[in-house]
Amino acid sequence: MRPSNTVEVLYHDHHHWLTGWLRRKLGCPQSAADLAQDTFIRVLTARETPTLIEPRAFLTTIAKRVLFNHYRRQDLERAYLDALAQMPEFAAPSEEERAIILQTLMELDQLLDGLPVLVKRAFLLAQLDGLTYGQIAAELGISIATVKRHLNKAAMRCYFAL
Amino acid sequence: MNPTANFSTQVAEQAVQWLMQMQQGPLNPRQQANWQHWLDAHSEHQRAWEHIQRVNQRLRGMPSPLAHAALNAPQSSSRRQALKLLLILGAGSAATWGLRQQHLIPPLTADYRSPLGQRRKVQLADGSQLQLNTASAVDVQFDGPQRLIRLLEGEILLRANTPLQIITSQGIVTTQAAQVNVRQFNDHTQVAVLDGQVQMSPKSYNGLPLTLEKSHLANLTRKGWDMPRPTDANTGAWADGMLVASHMRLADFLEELSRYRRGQLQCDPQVANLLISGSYPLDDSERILDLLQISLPVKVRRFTRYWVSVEARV
Repeated sequence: MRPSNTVEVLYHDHHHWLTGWLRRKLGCPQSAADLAQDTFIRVLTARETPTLIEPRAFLTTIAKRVLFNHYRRQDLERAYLDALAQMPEFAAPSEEERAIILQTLMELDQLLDGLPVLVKRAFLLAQLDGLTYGQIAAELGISIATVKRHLNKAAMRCYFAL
Repeated sequence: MNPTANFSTQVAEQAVQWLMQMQQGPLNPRQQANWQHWLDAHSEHQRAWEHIQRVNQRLRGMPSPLAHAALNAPQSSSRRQALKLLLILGAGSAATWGLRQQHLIPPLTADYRSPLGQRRKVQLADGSQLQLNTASAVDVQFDGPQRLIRLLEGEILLRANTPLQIITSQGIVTTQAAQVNVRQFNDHTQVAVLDGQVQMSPKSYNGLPLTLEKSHLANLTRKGWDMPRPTDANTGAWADGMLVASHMRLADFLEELSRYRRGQLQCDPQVANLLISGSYPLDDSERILDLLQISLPVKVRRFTRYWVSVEARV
């Protein structure tokens, strides 16, 4: 059986069940349907579809990841909108820019995922605020050597996902 | 498209090392040569470097308070719950960057360069004195009788002892013994003569050059120049570390000031046309901002130390 057929069968047999599972987690039918869709898209774009002995366990594994990202995006978007509301109107980005900025931030957040907070902050201070190592060290209360180590780590992640 | 998968760890490490070295300050000529050598050594090096530039291009212009807030977003309880679920299962994979911007930043190579917020004095081989204002770069070529200074970016003040030529994006400035201030803007060059006289020739123009006399300044474009007018107290004042304003619009004043400091300095259109006068020491821009609140009906808001807006006081 070809992989596409496997996904088709998977979708046909378990889509309804998965949507129900997600609805119980989310309490929102609309989001549950969207995330079920996202889950199957992930299955489709996965490099290899394993031979499925336990299709529902496989699907929930992926759905949990989708669910986590969903919450993460919600948190990020909320913090983004809060910060946006505090900016003076004349300096705030335009409507079109806002969507691009939010998208970029979400990608950046995923790339830097798992790095310590200070590593992320050092990276933003260097890349967006244009600070020198000395200024970052003073801002974060760490040594210049640590700043360098943090920036190196963040750069490897951000540029090369390493 | 997943560009990150195309680079070996070794090449990625090298590219990041070069990036960090450049962020620390201008490369000296030997480092420049080494960097160029590395870049030319392999097409993968070039691709890795271009990839970094593209990502940076995307990050550039992002309002930093938004990024700081969003990436430090507190976790909601539902996300903590989801994270627990996920940790049991092992880590997720990182997303990849979509590449939209094609514009690349030219490499930072120059004979002399001054970092942002700093000024630099250079003694040239013929005894002429060259000063570089904040974030400026020049190439100097002295081959026998040919004496060229190429202004790559920023602003210079030249005390020339011998005939010299200054090349900018828009044209050529020729001096005998003279003191001249040349500033490269995006689309034009501003030339101000403090002593002696200079000739200016636009790049795409074959007629006679304009002779600019002492205490006059003019703007040069590729096709011509505007009407010369007298210099003011601010002309070349940066060389003494001062910003001299005489009925300057606040928006223009803040734009000038922001050349010397890191981060973003925003001006509320409501106060953009307020006029400001006085002499301000460039080395302490924070203090200048504080003083603004005393002399004008404005309020300075610091979202972060490096993202500041000047607004109407209500």
